[in-house]
Amino acid sequence: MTSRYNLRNGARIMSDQFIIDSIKTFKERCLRLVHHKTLLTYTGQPKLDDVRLFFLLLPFFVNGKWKEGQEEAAQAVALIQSALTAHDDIYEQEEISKDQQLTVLAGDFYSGMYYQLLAKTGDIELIQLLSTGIVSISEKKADFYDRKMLSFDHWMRNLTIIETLSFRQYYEYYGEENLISLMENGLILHVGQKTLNHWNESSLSNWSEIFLHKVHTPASSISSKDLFFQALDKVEKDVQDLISNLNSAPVGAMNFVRNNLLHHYSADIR
Amino acid sequence: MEKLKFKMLYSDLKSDLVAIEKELKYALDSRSPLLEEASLHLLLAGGKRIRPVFVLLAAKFGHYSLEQMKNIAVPLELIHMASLVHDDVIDDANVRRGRETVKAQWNNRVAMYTGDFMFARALEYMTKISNQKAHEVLAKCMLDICVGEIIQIEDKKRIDQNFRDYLRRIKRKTALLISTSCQIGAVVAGADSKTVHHLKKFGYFVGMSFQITDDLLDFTATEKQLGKPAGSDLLQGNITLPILCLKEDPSYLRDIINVMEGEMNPKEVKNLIDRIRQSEAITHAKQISNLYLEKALQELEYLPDVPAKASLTEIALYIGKRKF
Repeated sequence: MTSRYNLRNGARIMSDQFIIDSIKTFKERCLRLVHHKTLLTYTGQPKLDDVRLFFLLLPFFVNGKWKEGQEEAAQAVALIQSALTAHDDIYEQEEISKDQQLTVLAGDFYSGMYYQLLAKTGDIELIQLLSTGIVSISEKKADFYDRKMLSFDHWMRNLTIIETLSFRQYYEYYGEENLISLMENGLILHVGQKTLNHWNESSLSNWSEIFLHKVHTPASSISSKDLFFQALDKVEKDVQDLISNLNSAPVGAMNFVRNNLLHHYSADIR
Repeated sequence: MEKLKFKMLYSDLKSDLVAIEKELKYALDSRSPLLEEASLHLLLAGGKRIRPVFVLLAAKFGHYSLEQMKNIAVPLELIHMASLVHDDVIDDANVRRGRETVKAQWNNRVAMYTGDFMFARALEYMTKISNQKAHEVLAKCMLDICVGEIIQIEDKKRIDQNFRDYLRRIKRKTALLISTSCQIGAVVAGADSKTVHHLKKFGYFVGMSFQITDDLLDFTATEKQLGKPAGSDLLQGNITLPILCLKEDPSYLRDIINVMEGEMNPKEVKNLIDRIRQSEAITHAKQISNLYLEKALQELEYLPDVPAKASLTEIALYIGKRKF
């Protein structure tokens, strides 16, 4: 994937369309890696949403090119996320369905593919790093099930690790520390908005279910849902500040954040 | 008793296997008490640990170092165990090795996270090995196992499958991980390429024989020996070698279909299992298992004469005779 910069008044501009096309191309490459006819029939495509993929591509957008091995590493993180998300979709059933059986295997297949991808590049250090990350993510998920009740902060801390740790490790490995805050806040805002949508549609995701059933607030004057809205408002403000101050990022990339993450939940949801 | 006999086969490795067992426990340390308990639940249920045994014995054909081999034997056993935890969700199984499965004791989602945790821990261990080839071999093996399981689900209750379908399935289900254990153990120990090749093939043939024997025992062993009800494979719709041998016989075909469709009462199921147990199909399947064993033993003839060769021979012969 090559970059296409336009220079206008000294500012780097990648068109909005270029950003969207790059995400699409990257997604197609990831999907090709894990293409399997039976899995496709019964479980559909792996979950690779555009916002998550955008944050895997952000270093490429900012630097104007991939560093050596970075694109494969980004693909590996996308596959890890797909694998772990597939396993979040396993629930209790009276009698197990073929779809569910194959969802278990889809997750294992994506995991195996991430390992194979990095084994082929010979990046053993990154495999070690990401595997340690998956251990921590699994521990945080189990922690949700191990506790009868948990505080809002505890829920948020676990969620941040579950949703962002692999991305953080990938950013740190490639020396992209200056982008970590935007990535973390952006992903949390994204997952927060999805949680709100689930509430709105009365279809709970795992983490919103945990939230509604297990999160307690220290004071009765404020509900856990209000705490959630306050936290989300703050994250949104942080994202806004971060994109205003990030001069190195191309305009198109920041437009993507504005268009896909900011002002995406309204007061009527509350 | 049988397990004791098996362990006596590799008494030379006893102290090394004790070290591996200790390391396996250590590998399952977790900041999550739930994950640790769930993983140890399976580990402490026991098992033959044949994958670690093959890693260690194969490494004896090169420059053997226990410290180095731990980092291969532990992940291979963890990968096997993780796949069992996920398989129990797939099969909706409540009992394994005579104990409640993770999914039965906790729930499906805890089983998923336990398996993911174990897979990841396995790779963490494996990354202590810098040999890229070893990683490529293991990654391919993990993917092939997974594809094998997908095929197994596709093949469930598919009565028109043939011997080739079955053999391809058990290759991926069992033989590959045993073959990979031998291959990686030898590669990392620095054995020469010819030795690695024959050990890999030995593992493959032993693995095929092992799985055919397993499938036979599902009919011939007792529930106590198996740690699960006899005939479980058939009840779940898995068509194994004895069934393939019988399905052309009209006196069995209707019953085989009925039992897979859950249209038989427990007494009828028991009668059918008893008939299968006494049929020629068991003898035929046994003969095929023995053919694989013979091929395994032939591979050993190409290997240099080191003491581990005798142990591999004995293990192969044991696998042919084992009762559970």
